[in-house]
Amino acid sequence: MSAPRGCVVLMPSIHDVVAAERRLIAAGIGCDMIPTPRQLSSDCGMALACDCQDLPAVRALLEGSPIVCSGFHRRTARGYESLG
Amino acid sequence: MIYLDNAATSFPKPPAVVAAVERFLTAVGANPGRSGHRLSAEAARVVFTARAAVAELLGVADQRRVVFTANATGALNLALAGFLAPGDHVVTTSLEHNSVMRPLRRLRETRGIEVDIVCADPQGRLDPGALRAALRPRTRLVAVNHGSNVNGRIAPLAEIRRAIGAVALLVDAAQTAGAVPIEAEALGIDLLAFTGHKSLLGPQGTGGLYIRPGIEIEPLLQGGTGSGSDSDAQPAILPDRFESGTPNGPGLAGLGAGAEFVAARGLAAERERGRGLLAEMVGGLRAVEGLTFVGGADLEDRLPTVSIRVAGLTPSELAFELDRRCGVMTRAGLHCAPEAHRTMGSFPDGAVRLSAGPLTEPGDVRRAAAAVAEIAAEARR
Repeated sequence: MSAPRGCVVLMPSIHDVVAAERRLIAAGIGCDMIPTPRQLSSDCGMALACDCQDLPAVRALLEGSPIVCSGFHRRTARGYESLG
Repeated sequence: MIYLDNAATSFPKPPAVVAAVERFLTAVGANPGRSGHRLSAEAARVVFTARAAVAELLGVADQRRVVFTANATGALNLALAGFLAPGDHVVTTSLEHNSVMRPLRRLRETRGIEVDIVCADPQGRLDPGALRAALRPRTRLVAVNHGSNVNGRIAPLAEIRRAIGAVALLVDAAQTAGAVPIEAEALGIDLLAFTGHKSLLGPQGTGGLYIRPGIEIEPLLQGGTGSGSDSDAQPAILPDRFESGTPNGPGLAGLGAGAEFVAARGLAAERERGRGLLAEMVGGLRAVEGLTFVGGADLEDRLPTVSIRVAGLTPSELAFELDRRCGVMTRAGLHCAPEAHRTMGSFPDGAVRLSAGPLTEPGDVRRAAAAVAEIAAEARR
């Protein structure tokens, strides 16, 4: 298995996920669209994964935009830790 | 072959539109954003791109407020049935297509809404003051056609917006989206219905509705959206709230490519191109003996759409002869707009409509006018 990126951003709509992906790519920040982790949401849609070292920049980019984020999370040995 | 039925649907489409549809069907194919795999992600990007391109052309900053439907009719039904409540009063116009008239009739019968129809003049011009005069205390919506599908007359939206004050404004932009500049937000439009397969150059089966922030409408369809999946309540977020079920991925891929094609040309340039085609068409037809224009022969505030009648021929006979003998494809009849034809004096027989589109060349309309002249001359003999 490939090592997954350690942080996950949830958004309520796939539209926002794609909008966020575009914004991060434009800023040179690596990210992956992933199936929404079941531990975080029962949505059958997608979420955005990024490296945790990039999370401050990701937050700044997304929270200062019209994109709606419903949560930032860090993967841990026991699941996910909410980062607000 | 000369295709002049672009007011029904545009043809041909740019090669980029065909390529986008083919790419979706052969290389993407998945359900947009519903699953977690790469093709689902790519399909979601395709839909996003289409929404962003259409929002840009309509002057809408928040792309989420452009929700996709199967066509303009779907969007108009959503706007009318989703917005109006029992006891509401609606003002509309005699230029409306049946995609507005029939839902309103149904709502009169089932919800007891009241409707007043303001008549345009025989050239299809609307008086914003007449719309204002028709308002009542319970008027909740004014529904107007932006471009007549009978004679291409463009309604003065800014004046109408000013005239009706704070009453919600629904605009049917089926004929104008992609053909003329529309700044939906700047104009204060509350609801704007568009089709994807006319001047936006997408495939049939695409369209949508712009919903201004603060306008609350109920969805007509409930179902899976890939969001809020733990609940049987319809999501409140847009666009998901109004897009239950698998979207038309191939169609939206084509719509995105069509909208980008239009954007690259520029709406102002497209509007000028339409003016030129209208002038060619009217100029060529004016000389035809026995021909009458339905809705006027002027060149002001019009799309390149002209309706005509020729002495000695019914509209269906003329349209048939144009097609069979000259390869000119038009549309005869009432164009799903009987009140508009009453207004312009052509009910119940209707007319033959010649409508140029984004890929029509000036030579096409000149040859079509010559074909009309030839058939009209024969009818006189």
